[in-house]
Amino acid sequence: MNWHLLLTDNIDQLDTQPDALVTKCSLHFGREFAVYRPLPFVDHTGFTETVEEEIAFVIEAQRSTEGAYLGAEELVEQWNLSPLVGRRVAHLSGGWRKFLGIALFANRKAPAKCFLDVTSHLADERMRVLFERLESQSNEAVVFCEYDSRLIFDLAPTRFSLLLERDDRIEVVERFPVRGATGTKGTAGTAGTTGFYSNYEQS
Amino acid sequence: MSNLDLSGIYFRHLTSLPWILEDLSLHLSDGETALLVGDNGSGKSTLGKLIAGLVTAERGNVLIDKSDLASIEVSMRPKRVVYMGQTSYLQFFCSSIDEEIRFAAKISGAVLSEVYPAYPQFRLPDDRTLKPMDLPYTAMWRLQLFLFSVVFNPSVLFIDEIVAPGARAQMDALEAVVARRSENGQVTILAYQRVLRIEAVPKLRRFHLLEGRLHEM
Repeated sequence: MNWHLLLTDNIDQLDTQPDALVTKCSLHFGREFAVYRPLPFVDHTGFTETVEEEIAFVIEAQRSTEGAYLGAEELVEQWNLSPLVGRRVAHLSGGWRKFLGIALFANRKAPAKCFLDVTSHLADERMRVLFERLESQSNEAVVFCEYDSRLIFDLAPTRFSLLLERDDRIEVVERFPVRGATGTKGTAGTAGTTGFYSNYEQS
Repeated sequence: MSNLDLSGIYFRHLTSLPWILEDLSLHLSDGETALLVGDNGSGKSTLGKLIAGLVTAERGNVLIDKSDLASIEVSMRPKRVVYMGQTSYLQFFCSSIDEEIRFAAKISGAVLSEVYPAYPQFRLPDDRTLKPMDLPYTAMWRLQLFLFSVVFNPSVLFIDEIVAPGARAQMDALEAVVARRSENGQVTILAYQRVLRIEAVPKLRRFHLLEGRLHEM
């Protein structure tokens, strides 16, 4: 599987108007992607009440189309969702609702997946589980579109090819520019030879 | 000078479920800012809602400026304590930025001529006839920050989740708010999943919310 990290300077585009970004991705790679859009906490289908029902409902729907990697029980176990199964989706904390949505999206047997802004709302442990699960699947390509790249570098188990959004296109780069030089406050860190910007401290 | 006192707080959503907050205590005063760091589901948002009186502890006390929260009339609470939620933009009620500001001023008793001078510091549109829900996501967050920190200007402000902390406009606005509140002796609480770099904030204390309690870092 090929892992790609696309850095954008436009956080608003990432969160609310991602169509142009997704189109650029498709053009760059010459293929279509299944896209995880970070609509805040609207990951619940609304047709079910509990987490258990939601998982069963979504997997059933996926099986009738492109297929699902894991059945409901396996998904609960492998995505560490067992403490949540009996709870109402609407009662989950914001981060867990987002994670549930990501788990169900990632479980689709789509060959190429594009994740927009997965780092917000998710604690580090959720990110690690996401990366582990993706590694275990037979995806051909996974693209993470992010504004702040450091978390991905710190937590991902693999090396990414680096992509930078510039105006109307996407460029392959060897390293990301350090944003401090372009007017964004923060500190530059190091991740191998890759310059990046982040506002997170090491914890 | 503002004070927040939490002592022996116990909270759970249902009696059949485990405690989310368990014997939690916290004292903040004199312009202190707290950064609460915790895992997803650790209780950060619940704590914010509890401090604002949106949910009630099964046991324990919440004192705002030495007054029991329960004794403060609901209509008077916005001047004392405000919870800015993770989906704060869902709290917009009006069809223009200006109406939104006037609405907040009406509730809080703020004087419009005193709040407008701070508006440009939040990098919000000059055209205040725009609909709040039509603003970019990050600008919506800054508008809510302006409304809550400047117009409501409460003794205790709880900011749950910082939208796009890597973006300069966001952190500039936040740091200015926190620094001004600290100077005024007000208490501010920021909740996030990980430790954030916050500059120019005096009296910053960091806490880890773990297993229902706060541990100072």
